[in-house]
Amino acid sequence: MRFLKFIIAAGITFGFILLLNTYSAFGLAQLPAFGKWLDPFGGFWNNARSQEQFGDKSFHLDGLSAPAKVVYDERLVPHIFAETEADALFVQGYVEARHRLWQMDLMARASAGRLSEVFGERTLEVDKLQRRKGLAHGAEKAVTGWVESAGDRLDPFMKYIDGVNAYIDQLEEKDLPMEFKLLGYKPEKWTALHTALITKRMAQTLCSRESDLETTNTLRELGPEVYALLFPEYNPKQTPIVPDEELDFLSDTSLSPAVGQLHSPAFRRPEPQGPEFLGSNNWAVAGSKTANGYPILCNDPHLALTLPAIWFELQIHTPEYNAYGVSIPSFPGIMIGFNENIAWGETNGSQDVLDWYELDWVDDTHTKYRFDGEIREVEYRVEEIKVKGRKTVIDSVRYTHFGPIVYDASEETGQEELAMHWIALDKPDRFEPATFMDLNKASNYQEYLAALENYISPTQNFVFACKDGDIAIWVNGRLPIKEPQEGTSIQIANSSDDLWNTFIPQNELPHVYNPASGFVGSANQHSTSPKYPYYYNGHFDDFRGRILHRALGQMDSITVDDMRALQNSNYSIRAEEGLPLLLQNLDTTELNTVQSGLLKLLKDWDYRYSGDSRAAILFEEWWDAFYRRSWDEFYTLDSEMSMRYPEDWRTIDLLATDPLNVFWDDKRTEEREGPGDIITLAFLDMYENLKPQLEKSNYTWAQHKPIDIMHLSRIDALSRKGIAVPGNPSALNASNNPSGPSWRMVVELGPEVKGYGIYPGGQSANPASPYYDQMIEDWAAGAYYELHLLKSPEELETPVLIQNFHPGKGHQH
Amino acid sequence: MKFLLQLLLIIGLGFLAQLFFPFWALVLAAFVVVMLLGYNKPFLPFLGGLLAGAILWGGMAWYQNMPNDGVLAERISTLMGFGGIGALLGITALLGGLLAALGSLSGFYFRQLFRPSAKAAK
Repeated sequence: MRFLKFIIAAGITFGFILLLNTYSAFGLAQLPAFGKWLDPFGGFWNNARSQEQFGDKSFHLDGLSAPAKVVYDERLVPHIFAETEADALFVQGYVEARHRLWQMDLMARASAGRLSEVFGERTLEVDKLQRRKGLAHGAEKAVTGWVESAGDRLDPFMKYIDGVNAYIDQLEEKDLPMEFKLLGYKPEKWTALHTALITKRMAQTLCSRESDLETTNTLRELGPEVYALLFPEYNPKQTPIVPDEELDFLSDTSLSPAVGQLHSPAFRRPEPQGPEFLGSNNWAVAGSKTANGYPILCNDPHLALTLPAIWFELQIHTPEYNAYGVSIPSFPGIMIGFNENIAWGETNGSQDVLDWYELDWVDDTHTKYRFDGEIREVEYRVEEIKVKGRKTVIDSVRYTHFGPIVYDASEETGQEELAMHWIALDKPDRFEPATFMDLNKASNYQEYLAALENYISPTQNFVFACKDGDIAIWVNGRLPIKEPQEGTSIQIANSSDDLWNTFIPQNELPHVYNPASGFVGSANQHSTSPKYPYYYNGHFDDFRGRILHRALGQMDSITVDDMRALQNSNYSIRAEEGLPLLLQNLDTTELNTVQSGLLKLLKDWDYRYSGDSRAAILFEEWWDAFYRRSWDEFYTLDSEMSMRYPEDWRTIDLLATDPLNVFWDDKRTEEREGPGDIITLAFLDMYENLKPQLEKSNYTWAQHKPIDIMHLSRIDALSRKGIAVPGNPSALNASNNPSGPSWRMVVELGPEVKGYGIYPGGQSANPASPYYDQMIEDWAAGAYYELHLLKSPEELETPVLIQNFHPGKGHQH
Repeated sequence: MKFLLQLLLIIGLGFLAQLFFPFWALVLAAFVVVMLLGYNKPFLPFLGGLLAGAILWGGMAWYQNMPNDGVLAERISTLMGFGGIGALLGITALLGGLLAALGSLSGFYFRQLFRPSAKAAK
């Protein structure tokens, strides 16, 4: 009897412990292990003790050649002082892992298609597609290519990886970042492959966008003539990155136009492409245009805004160089920043470097295809997707010499299987990470050029300014030499003659060096006009490049304040050109008093998407309703196949020049409408849609389109939602949920370089830290912080944290 | 007196054990303390464990929470769908209490196994 009682008591106790020690108890994938999670000694409570507040720490780490010191300033920016580049990058790895380890782990996982290992079944489809696209395979090839071409640049790179592991190795379970505890897993050893995976992830964000399937369908549905009318590739009003008068560096090339092919099947993209993050700007103005006679360089890359932020701010100081800026944790060196001599920054190039191919299969097994007159066999790569709480999913991905077969055939639409060739997954023959490591040390234009030569993908517009007066911008990356229209739609390629296989030579990439205008700038617009002899296509922005060049052309005696104001400019050429056309076509005879009041607001608008504007709301909703009524045919077809939609600039153009065309007619109504009719109907749509909101007198643009800065886990409680910000994708301040200026930087060169910057987030990834999200309010208000390029650690009067690193076996005291 | 001793010992031993071992160390601490102290009835050791565990976990959570002004706890309580820091502290304390109470109860019955039975005494 006593024995039985003991067994029952002990059994209940043991069972209770087991339950509390289990993740996903009762099969609920989202539940943490409650015992571990709530335990105040080792669970999340321990993360509340925000560790960066503790003053002075010393570490002995294996891998350093000499002592190094890190002092953290008032925003928790680490200033790394080391004796060599390798030591500095080692400490960078340690420090970035210290503050951003889970983010690094997650980005690498997302790229490799390994999210389901920690999130369970809910991310399985995402993982599957990612495996099909073969980013992990590409990352493996990248590591091999890097090792082969790195030479002596490999050692400092690997020291960064060692630094990350030095942090991971000393990490106790109770000190794991909270997200690891919540999801119940531990960080794995960091390798060069993890870093390569994150470059592939960045490439996916920046240069995997194309509309080949959509173009194929649209071309087939509309026919070549109407297609050419609605989708011209180049806006003649555009101000390209390289003005025509600067195109003087080119050899003669002649190209024969490719013959367009019309495909019979209708293609459907199985997953919508992510939002188009066009919004980045960068520019440099020469001393001739500035108040103090030295160049000023500005950069605001626009990306999806997340917590923790993509960027981590830091300074690297060695006897050889002294640089400041932002890095993407997992990557050695500073990506956007400045040193005592130069400043540099990037925007996305947006060239299309991802193409789709149909194969000429030999038989129904779809394992052999004809190419160049011979029969080739596909190769298999077996993808094992581990899924938390479920058994492993196996997918055998077929690889052709183009690349993997990503999209399956569909009997329903007649869609064929499609193989993908994406430049970002080709094996690199250069050591790409050296680009940024070398830029950090560069002190003049020649060294900047040498650094750029290491770069392959994703194509970026690298802007440059030097205190000796030079300014420049290079559209840098590996760009294929294509025949006109090649790669705009799905291709049937049976021989290598049909394919691009050469690249634009490095010295003929679009670039501008010290132009007569006194400025260089990019805003994701076309690199050049069609006068540039190499054909290229892509997703380019059509409004911001124009406002940027217009504004810089008009400015003189420029100050840092002028540049900050320009980065925050909400002025839109889309509104400037679009609104007058809407207004002049509007039938005002039947408007009621409220509607006439709205019309008055619109007529008085200054085309600025300011936070307090109401006219901006009216115009956006009016334009949107008008666009939907004009291009209703596309929305109808889109239910059957993926379609390409006319761009806003072309819609504006056609409204001005072709008002009689039949496509203005809204096919859903019986009457034949012209632009005037649908514009008037759209005005009424807008009025109906906005009526409830507009009754609130304080309802403004900033509230209409707020931004949500989501935690990477997409957990609301760790996110900051509903941030009121001004801006519009057609303005330089291109904020548009969920993307926006992910880092704003203005650098004034001179005897003493001065930097200003801000990003929406905070240095620490710990949600308990005061440095988790403290910059968001200032960022939303358009403010900047002065960036401290220290000459010695002592210069910082009150560091919030000091870390002293000593060579030796790993321990801490 | 024995009850107070049990409280203090579980809190002290539990604290020390949890510095080095995972959360179940608290159960072992309670088990050992009650086994050594010895009780005649199960109710008091259970109650003592409940109180001691709740004090230890609740107190420790409160201590951990202080330096960051409850910022994290606020976020976690939202994440877990609780009403606020109070509820989160309460749940944490309750869990610690239950662990120590179950450990104490098991310790009590374990000791009972070796108590000379009434029959054997005759």
